[in-house]
Amino acid sequence: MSFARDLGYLKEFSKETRVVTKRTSEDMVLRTKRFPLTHTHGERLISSAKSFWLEPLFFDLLKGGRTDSSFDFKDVLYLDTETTGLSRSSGTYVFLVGLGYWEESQYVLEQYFLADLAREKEMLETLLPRLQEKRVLVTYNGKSFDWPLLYNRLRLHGLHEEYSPEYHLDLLQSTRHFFKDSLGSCSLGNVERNLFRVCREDDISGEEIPSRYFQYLSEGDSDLVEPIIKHNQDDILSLTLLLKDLLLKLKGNTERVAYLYERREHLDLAERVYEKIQEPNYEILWRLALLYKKRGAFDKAVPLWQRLLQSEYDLKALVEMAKHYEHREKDYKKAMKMVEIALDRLETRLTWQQLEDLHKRNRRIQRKLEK
Amino acid sequence: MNLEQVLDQLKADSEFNQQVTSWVIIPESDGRYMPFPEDMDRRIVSYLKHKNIAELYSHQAEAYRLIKEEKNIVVVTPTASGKTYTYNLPVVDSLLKDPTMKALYLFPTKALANDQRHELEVMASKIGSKRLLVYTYDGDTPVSIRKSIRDTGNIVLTNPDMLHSSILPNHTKWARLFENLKYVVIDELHTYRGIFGSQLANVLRRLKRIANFYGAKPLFVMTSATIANPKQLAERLIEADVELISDNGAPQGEKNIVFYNPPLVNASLGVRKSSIIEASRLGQRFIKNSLQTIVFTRSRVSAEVLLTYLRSGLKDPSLVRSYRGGYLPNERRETEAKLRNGEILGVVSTNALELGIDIGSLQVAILTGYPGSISSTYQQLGRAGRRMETSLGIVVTSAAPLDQYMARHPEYFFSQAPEQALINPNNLYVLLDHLKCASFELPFTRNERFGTILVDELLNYLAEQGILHLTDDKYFWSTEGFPAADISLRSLSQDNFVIIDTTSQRHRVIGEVDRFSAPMLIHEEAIYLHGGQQYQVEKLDYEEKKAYVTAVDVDYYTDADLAVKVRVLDVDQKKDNCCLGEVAVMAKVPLYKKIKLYTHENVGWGKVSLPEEQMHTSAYWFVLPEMTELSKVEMESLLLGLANVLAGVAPLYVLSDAKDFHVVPEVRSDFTSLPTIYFYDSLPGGIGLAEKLFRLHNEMLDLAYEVIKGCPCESGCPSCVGVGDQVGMMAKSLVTTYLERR
Repeated sequence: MSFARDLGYLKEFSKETRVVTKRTSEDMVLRTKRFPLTHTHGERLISSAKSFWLEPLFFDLLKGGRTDSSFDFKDVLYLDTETTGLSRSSGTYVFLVGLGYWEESQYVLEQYFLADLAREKEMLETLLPRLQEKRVLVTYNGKSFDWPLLYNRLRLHGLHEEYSPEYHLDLLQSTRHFFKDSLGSCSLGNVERNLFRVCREDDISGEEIPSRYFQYLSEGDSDLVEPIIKHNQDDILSLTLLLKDLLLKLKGNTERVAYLYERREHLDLAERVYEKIQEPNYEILWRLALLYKKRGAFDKAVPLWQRLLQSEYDLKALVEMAKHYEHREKDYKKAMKMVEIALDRLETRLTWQQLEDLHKRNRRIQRKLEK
Repeated sequence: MNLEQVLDQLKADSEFNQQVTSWVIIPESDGRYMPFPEDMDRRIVSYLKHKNIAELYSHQAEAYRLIKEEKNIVVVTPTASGKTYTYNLPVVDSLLKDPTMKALYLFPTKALANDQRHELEVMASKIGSKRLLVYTYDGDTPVSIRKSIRDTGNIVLTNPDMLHSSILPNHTKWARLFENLKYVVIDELHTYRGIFGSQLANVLRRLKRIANFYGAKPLFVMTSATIANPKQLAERLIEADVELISDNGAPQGEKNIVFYNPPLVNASLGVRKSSIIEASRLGQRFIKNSLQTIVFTRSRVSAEVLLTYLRSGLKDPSLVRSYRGGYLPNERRETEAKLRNGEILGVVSTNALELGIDIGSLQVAILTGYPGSISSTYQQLGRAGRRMETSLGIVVTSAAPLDQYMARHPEYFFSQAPEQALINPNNLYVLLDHLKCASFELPFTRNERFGTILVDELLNYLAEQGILHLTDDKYFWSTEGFPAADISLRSLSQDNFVIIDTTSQRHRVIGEVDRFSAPMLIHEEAIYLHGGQQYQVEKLDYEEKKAYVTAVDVDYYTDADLAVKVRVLDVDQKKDNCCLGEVAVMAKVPLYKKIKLYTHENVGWGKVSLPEEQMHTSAYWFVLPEMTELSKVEMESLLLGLANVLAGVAPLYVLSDAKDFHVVPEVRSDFTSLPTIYFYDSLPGGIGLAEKLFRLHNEMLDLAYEVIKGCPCESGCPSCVGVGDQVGMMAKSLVTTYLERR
């Protein structure tokens, strides 16, 4: 008995969603489910995850690489797979591929289920057009798991040249950056529980999935895989909500985004993010100036230091300006002025070492002046 | 003194000469040369000329020609005959002509692969080709560079274990390599015998299957040390026709091969001076003359004992080191480097150094005990005298029957063809394991062959077990596991025990012992020797596979025996009084002995309480007639004596490592109800040793008779039926009578 011949599980689906199940071939099943925007996942309306703008600046942080184009929600394909194991070698099958995407007035979930191992090629061929259609793939840990496994399958059937994600955003790492402190574990299950109040009833554990699928293959009882299909649906919906939350988090924490870029040595991106920040505070201006300085863009750094000095006299900025006048402009008088201001205005607040350095600088500029 | 002077001194030394049973001088020989092949890339030619090579040795030119004619080849020439050029020249030439081509090199050890990578890298840089990318790929390769190796490597050097557990199961990631795979080079072919060879044959079946999937059909280029059947072994391994190249064109320096039999201490008991003591005495003599000397021993324990002896006679003990399996890799690397640059003058080794690691030119090789095979003997002797210099090899024979036979009949050694290397790729256990791996890699189709054999029956069995799932005439892997992870190529029971030194506060791992040897070497209270230091095993955690040891200083070492029971499961063939079949073997180490250093006397014993191990394997056995004229004690004596002498001579017929098979006598076997002697393969499933001996039964008994007749002892000694007070004073005459009347 095969999956396609026993579609009894379909009756379980909620009335508000429209379900179409198609037998694309003998033993490959494509199930399409259309959710109205009023559908709720946990305590969230699905519509709340719609209508976003994917700024190219955030791409790299979401592991999507570099781009100058921007995309919106219509370009996005959410992907999650179920597999017969955790090994990324060639003997692990991807037996369920769940895809989610937006249409004007609804959210569409497609699940490609491999009801017979011998029909894998057809399953992949059915799946390919949808993959090719969307430019941005969104996954949770898909960079190191779902995609390499799916690639293996495509490679085995000689289909690997048909598709490779143009942009692939993997949300795992950024979720860790922004939610680890508040949530602890960043497994998708824990994230959805805390952020969206999703409470899965009778959910199966991931460890159980491979053996259930193999049992289904030998016994043909679709009750065995029904919970897996539900599990995959929940994962996709959570992934969909998570992208929106993460984007909001990124937009609200541009300073941290820039800092993360800096830490990864993606300095040009850090610079661009800092530049976009409206009403930057002192710290942001200072870091941005340093980035300019690092790549030798003094025409941009100097005005920033000057701007900083207008609001308050700060040792770091004064020293930078002193260096600038001394070494680059060779304007020793101006350089001396900077040092003198620092000694004058800040003396009481400086450490002995800082004072010593200033005096040293002072003496050196003095000598240069006297030449 | 240089070696020539020392040789003159030895020739004049009457005490030494009394013990020499044979001194053969193989004169130096001229090389045979051929011009560089005309189609060989000019860059390679100028590289060779730069290295002062003006022509090729004839075997190198022959290999080049055959490879270019798309023939699989196996090259069998001695150590230091420029074997690596036989594959590097044609492979590099092809890669220069077509840079998309790929080659996979297999070496039995990581160390050999590293050596070869270095050589190829130098060659590539001298040739000035930036497109020739050479990488080793093994367990030590950083994860960060693995991807670029997979995608860009032109020559990937690895070992069978990595191929089995990493490359083949991940073939989609290696697709670029497999699609363009032109050459598979297998170096040190002779090491792939017995179980390891049977495993490799199956790994190669998988390799060919995957290559075929990606549309490639690689050529196989193999090299081997001297064995009787290189062509047969190569053909069994790759299951295709192979051309043999065995005519060595390299010149050779004069070789002195000496058989040295230690003096008799007690002639009637056949007791001789210990070969270990004699070997260390000889070794010191050469090392004191600054001649680089390698001393081979047959076991880890004797390697360590010998090291202690050798060092004790030298002013600077650090001049001598030991080198064996069980040391950690960096320790071994350091020893290799110091040998090459001459900081070390002597090295004591088990057969780990038989493999062609380049340690520069040693001048003297001393073999403590006959290594058990002609092939190994040549390999070990070959460690001395690389680079056309005069060299000396001494075989110090022990009291074992085979050793004494060789000492008395050195002509046998020099006239006999070396042994055959046997493999059994269709050993059921091995085959099933690799069918799992192969199914994991790509589903089998009904009636698909694995190598040359049909495997549907086995695939159906695996499907019944739920490991495979049959649908649409294809067998799909249907288990969560990753089969290669549980299968080790080196033995069927792989898990090593680690040895942890707890002498100081900070515990550290000092070595490893394989599972099979663990009960004998690291049972509680055993003395474990490492780097000349004695350690006592305080605790053996059998479950966790850990032995905790502390450093001690005692005047004895320990030696444990294996007690074995055999149960016949099935009889496959019968001939006269012999049977070939399947048996279950129950093995247990009941006790150990304490043996005093230097005197080798037995000074105590202790119990070992470790669980019994059981395995199924193939065996051959023969029954003796009921001899009512003999008492039970006499019968026992006859069987023990006969078993001892047979165990001693059997290795003559098969190229097997020590303990690859066992001999067990039973006075009244449960199965035959008669006095019976069993020979069984010591690896689960067997590798064909029992079968081979079954066929040679009569010849083997003839040789046993000859050994006993030729032995000068009165009533048994370690060189024939065993020592009288262990096997009974009548054993020798009982065995002789039996063999005469048989």
